[in-house]
Amino acid sequence: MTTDVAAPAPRTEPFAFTGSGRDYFPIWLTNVVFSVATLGIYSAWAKARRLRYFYRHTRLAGAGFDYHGRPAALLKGRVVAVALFGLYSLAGYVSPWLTLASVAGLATVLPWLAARSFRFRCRNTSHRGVRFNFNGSMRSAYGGFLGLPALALVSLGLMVPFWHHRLKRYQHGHSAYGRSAFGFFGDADPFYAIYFSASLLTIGLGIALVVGLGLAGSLVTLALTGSANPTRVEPGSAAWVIVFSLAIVGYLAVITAVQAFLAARIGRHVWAHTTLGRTRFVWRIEAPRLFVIRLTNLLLTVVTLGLYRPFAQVRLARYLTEAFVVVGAGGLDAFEALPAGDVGAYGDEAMEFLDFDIGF
Amino acid sequence: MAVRDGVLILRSDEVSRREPLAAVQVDDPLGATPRILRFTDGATCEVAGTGALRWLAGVAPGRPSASAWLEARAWRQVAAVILLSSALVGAYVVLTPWLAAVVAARLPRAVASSIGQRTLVSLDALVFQPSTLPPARQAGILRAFWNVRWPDDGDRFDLVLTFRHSDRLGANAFALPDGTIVITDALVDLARSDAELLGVLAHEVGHVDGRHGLRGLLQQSVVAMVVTWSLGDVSAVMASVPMMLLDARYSRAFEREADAYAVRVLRDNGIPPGAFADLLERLQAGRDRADAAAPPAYLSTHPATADRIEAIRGS
Repeated sequence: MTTDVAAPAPRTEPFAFTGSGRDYFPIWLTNVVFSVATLGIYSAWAKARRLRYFYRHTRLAGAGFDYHGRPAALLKGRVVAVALFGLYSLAGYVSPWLTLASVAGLATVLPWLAARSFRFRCRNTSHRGVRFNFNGSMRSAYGGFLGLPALALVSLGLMVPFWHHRLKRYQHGHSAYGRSAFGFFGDADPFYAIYFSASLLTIGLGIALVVGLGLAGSLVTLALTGSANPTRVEPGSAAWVIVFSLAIVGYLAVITAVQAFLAARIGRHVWAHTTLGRTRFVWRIEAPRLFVIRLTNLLLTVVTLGLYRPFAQVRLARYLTEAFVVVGAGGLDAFEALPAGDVGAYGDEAMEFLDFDIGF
Repeated sequence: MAVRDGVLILRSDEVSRREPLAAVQVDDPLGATPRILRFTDGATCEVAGTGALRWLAGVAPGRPSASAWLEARAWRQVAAVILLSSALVGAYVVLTPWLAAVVAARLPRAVASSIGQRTLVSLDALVFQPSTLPPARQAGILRAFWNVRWPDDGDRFDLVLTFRHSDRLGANAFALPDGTIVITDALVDLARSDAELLGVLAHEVGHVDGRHGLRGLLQQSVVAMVVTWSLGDVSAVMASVPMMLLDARYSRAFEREADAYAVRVLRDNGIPPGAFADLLERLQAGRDRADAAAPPAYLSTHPATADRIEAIRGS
């Protein structure tokens, strides 16, 4: 007689988000007030506080994530970013050659900065006291952030999906949680399929927008002025304001829809092909829902002159977080058995002088 | 979890710990964010949930800080927002124009001439054609222009008057930061006397003399920087709208300044300022005939022509 020993069913563990807009509002407001009052210097502290808030409210299996980035390091990143950007914009006033030189200079340092920033972000994130890590090489950073974008430009955008794939492979393939390395085994083909659909979506929505605006414009002018020719509308008149607002909202809706489609599809694909040891990930993010959240967030933020922003951030974070599910391969202890060693291996001593977050 | 005689006692199914409270590091509170206790041996304990956090706040209230002070009461936040908004309005209305004027006055001339020359080159490529005015007419206007006595404002750019034809721009005149003044054939044709033309030219010289070109560029840069910094991550499209409105207000101020300058120059030269107003009136009539609707006042880079005419005649 044999006994079938059923393999333990994979256990799924959803992420939870416990922050609330109401709780976050005063924190956000303080961040804004102090950042403006200190001409932006406080924004480094603000960022650390914001990330700490969102990371700690992101919870998996009863434990929160944590952010350890120090404001001083963030400030250093901001100073570098402002200096680079200032140099670039001032160069334009002096001579076109200087602009060219500064673009070349930027292109040379940006891959390095990007890789450093990503490593900073990983090393300063922890869960259950175990830090994440990133060990992507500088060589691939230059290939990924300098070589491929140049190729993408030369190929008139045909290389963009390929570049996006390489970028994700670089990020997901070289990250680690404690001692366990993440793995990424997705192909570039689906990126091409997703980008192709996104182009079709853009064209379709663009046509719909133009037709819809034309119709709406005629209707509004007909209703308000008695003539159905929207080109004869006086700027500043009620009909003009309505049509103009419709055009802006419609344009934002199209942009947001395409962005949401890309983010959801790429995100789902990337996480479906990412591993951590025997752990798998499922990101159940849906483009239509993401689109609705982002568009209403944007419009409400504008209508409330920015006061809705903290609520918008929390709302988006809640959706993105709670759509995320971790699937453990082996029974109940899968998550507790995630690498426990190496606690703080990348602790303070790793925060060397050149570590900073430029915040792309 | 409890504290007895300064000792933190942690007890659950798996762990049991007793630590002197003074040796436990607790981070500062941040809203209802879970707080983390760090023990001397590197172990950590996360405290989450409203009840537990309230208890912890009693035991470890955290260091007093400006942010904690502001976050504690709603009225402090309201007061801070009011204060900040007033400061921002002040920075926009007073501080930025003042700073831009100070910087523009100190920028080397090479910067202004470089910007001016490059602008003229690109305008020539995009909207201008060579002038078709008879040379005698050009010479007449130039002579009238050189005979004008300008107020002695010290360090002035060398004024260069040039003529261009433009199908796209129609009757118009421009001042570039380096002192180049461009007037279109259509505007010359529209004028019934040299006195009228001198009004427009004096207005443009007012732009040069006030360094409006450079000041405008600097002010726009500040506006762009602040708006992008605060709204850039919301939406680039949305950010462009307030930028446009803020820039337009600065531009209208320059136009009024240049109008006042023109009136002063005309008066100094014994020309009635009404001549300038007459030309503006005819310009506006031409626009009305073409049925080119003017943008609403808050969007416009120029004050309403009727207001300008009234200001010139009334001065």
